[in-house]
Amino acid sequence: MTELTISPDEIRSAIDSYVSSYAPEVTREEVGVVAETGDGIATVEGLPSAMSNELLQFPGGVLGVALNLDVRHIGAVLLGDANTVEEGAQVTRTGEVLSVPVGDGFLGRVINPLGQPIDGLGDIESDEVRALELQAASVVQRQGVSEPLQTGIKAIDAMTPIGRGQRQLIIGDRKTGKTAVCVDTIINQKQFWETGDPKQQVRCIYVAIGQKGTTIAGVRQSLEDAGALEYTTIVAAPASDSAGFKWLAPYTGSAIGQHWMYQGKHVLIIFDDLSKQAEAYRAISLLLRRPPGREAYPGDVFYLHSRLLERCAKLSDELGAGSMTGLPIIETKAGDVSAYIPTNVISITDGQCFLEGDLFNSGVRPAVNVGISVSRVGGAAQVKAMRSVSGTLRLDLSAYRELEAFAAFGSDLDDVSKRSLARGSRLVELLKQPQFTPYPVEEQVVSIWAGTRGHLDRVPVEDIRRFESEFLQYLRHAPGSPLQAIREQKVLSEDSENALKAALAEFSDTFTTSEGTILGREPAVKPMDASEVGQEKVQVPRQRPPADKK
Amino acid sequence: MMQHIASREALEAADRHLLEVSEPLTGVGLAALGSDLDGVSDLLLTQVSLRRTLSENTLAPEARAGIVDRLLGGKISAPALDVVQFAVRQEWASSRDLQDALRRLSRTAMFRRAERTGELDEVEDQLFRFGRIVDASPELSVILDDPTADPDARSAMVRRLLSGRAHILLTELVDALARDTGGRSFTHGVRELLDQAAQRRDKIVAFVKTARPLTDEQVGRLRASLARIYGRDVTTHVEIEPSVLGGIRVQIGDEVIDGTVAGRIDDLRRRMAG
Repeated sequence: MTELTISPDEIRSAIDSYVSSYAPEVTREEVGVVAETGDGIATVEGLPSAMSNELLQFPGGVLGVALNLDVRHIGAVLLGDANTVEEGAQVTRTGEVLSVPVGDGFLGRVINPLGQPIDGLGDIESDEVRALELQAASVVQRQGVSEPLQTGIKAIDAMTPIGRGQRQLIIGDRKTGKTAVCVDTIINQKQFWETGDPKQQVRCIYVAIGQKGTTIAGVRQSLEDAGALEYTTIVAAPASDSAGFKWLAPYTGSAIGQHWMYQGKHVLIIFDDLSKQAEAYRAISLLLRRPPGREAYPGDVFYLHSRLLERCAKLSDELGAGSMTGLPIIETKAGDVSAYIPTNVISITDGQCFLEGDLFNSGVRPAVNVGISVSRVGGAAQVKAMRSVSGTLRLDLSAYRELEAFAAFGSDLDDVSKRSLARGSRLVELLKQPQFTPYPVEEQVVSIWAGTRGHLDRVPVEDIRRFESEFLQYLRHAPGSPLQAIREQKVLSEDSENALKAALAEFSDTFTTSEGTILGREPAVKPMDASEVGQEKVQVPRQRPPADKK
Repeated sequence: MMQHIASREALEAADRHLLEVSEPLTGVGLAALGSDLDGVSDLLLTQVSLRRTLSENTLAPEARAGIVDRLLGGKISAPALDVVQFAVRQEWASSRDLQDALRRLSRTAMFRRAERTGELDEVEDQLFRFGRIVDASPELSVILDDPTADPDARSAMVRRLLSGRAHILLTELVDALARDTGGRSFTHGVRELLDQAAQRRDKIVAFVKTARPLTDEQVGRLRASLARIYGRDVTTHVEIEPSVLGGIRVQIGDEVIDGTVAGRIDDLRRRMAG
C-alpha cells in the first residue's frame, strides 16, 4: 500500500499560493436566496459571512434583520411589508449592523423605528448614524442621580420623586392613566425648555409601541396644543406594524436619546409600552423556532428589557454630565404585578408608580397607589423645599388608609382618629389633579405645605380643590408673594413660610365655601341697638262666649 | 446521520436501488454515475426552490419524477437519472436530507468502483492519512473549514496537495468535500467518509494509536480480537503517536479501549492522589 505522505514544506507552499491568490473580492457580491418565508420571517440560504443583527436587503425595498445564524441558513425578521418577498428571491447584505440616523433634526418629528419620517414633513437631516446595540455606560462612566426631573404631578413629585437619570416604571391595568402621566411629564418640561439653558432643558422622546394609530395621533395633538412638540420626538410603531418594528422601536428611541446624552444634554424617554414589545419579541422568537420558556416568552426576554433600560443613566462630569431618564410603561392584567414581565421590569427599574383601577374609578386621578409605589432615588431627586414639606405626607396618608375602613362604618372614633381621617381625606383630595395641568414646583410646594401643616383642616373636603386653585391664583398675583423666592432658591425659608401664612390668612377671609360661609372666621355678632329692638304685639281676638242657652 | 427516520429509511431504500442499478455497470460507468450524482447534489444545494419542490411530499411522486426527467433527462447518464428519480419518489423529512442523500449515494457509487478494482482499502487508508495531515496543520484546517472562502480556491489547493501522490478517487472525494463541507469541519467530513466506506463492507471503523509501528501479524490479531468483541468485521486505521509511550489505544465510535502505558501511569497518579 502506498502510504500518503505530504511534507510540511509542500503544505506551506500550497497555503502560500492560496493566500497570495486570494484577492478580497470587493465587487463579488454575496447573494443569498430566500428558502422559506411567511409570517414576517424569512429563511435565507447562502450569505456565509452575514453578521448577527445585520441588515439584509430583500426585494421590494424591504429590509430584514439577520437574527438566527445557523449552519446552513439564516433566520431573518422582515421589517416592513412582507408581501413582496417570495421564495427564491435574491437577498444581499448591506454590511451594516442595525443602526439608525440620529441628531437634533429629529425634534418635533414623528419617525418609524428605522429613522424614516412618517409625518409627511420632509426628510430629516441627521448628525450621524448610531448602532442600536451599543453597550450601556459602564460603572465608572456614571454618577449618582441628584437632579430632579419634575413631572408636574403633585402625587409623584412629592412621594415618589423621579431624578434625571433614573428609571421609574409606570405600571397599572388598562385605562388607569399611565399614558396621561407620561404626557403630562413631557408637557411640564416646557418651562425648562423655554429657559434656553442646556443644563435645564430636557429633550423628550415618546416611543409608541403597538398603540392604536388614533392614540398616537391624539398624543401628538395634545403635545402640539400644549406647545411641547418642539422638543419631543415620537417614534411610532403602531399596532399595524410588523413584529420586527415593534421589537426595534424602543432601541431606536434609546439610540436617539443616547446621542444627546453623550453630548451632555438631558433626555426623557417614555416607552409606551414595553409589554407590547415583549409580546412582539415573543412572536418573533417562536417563529424563529427558539425554545419557549415561561408564558411562552423566550429565555432572553429579561435581557431584552435590561439592556434597553440600562442605557438610561446619569453620566459622570468627565463625559458631560448628561442624563437619560426612562419611564417604561407596563400594562398588567387584573392588577397582577407578579406576572412574568412585570416582575422582570420591576427588578430592573429604580422604582415604580403603581396606578390602580379602583382608585381611578373612585375619582382619585392620578390613581397612584401611594402604599406600594416607591422611588429608590427618593429625596435626592427632590428640591429642598419639597423635601421639607413632603416628609409627613406619606405617613399621614398611610394612617388615613388604615382608618378608612372604620370611617365607612361611621362608628364613634376618638379625637386623634377623627383628626387623622380629616387630614387624610383632605390630602387625598389635594393630590387629585386634572390632565394636561402640570404644576410648577413652587406651586406644588405651597400646595403640599398647606395640606401637611394643617392649614386646610378647616376647609370642607369638597372645597379643597377649588380652595387650592384659587389660593394659587391669588398667590400668583399677590405682591410679596413667596412663589418667586421658592422657585429661585428652591428652599422654603422661614420668611417664605411666614409670608405664606399671612397670605393664607388673608385669602381665607375672602373664600366662600360651597355652603355659603366665609372661611376663617365666624361672622362677628354685635349687640343690637336699643332702637332696633322692637316689640311685636300679637292680638288674639277672643270670641264672645256663646249666649247661654237655657 | 440524518435526524428523521423517514429520511433514514428513504436513504436505505435509495441505497439498495443504487446497488441494483450499479451491478451491471463497468468501472467507467460507475465513475460517471458517481460524478453525475455529485453534480445533481451540487445543483440542489444552490437551487433552493427546485430542492424544495423535489422533496415536497404533497406533490405526487410521479410529478416529482417527471420534473427530474424534464430537467435532467439527457444531461446525465441513464443510470444516474434512474437513481435520482427513485430517490425523489421517496418521502424525505426535509429538502436538505434529499440533497445530503444524493451526496452520500454518489460517494457510495465511487466506493463501489474502488471495491471492484480492489483498491478500496488503499483509498480508505489514504483518506485517513490525509485527515491526520489536515488535523496536524492548523493553518490548513482553518482554510478548509472556512465557509466564506472561495470553494474553487479551496479545491485548487487540495488538488495541488494531492496530485500525483494520491489515488485519483481520493482526490475526487476530497475535492468534493473541500468544495462543500456541509457546514461541519473538514475533519468531521473525512470521518464521515471513512464511516461510509467501512459501512460498505459491513465493517466498523477502529482508530488505533500506538507508540511504534505494528507488524502485519499484530494488526491481524488486533482485528480478530476486536471482531470477536463487536461481532462484526473491523477496519483498522493505525496512527503513530509517541506520547502514549507504549501499548495500544483503540477507539471505536464512542468507545475507547485504553491499553497504553501513558494511560496506566495516569491512572496510577490518580489513585495515589486519592
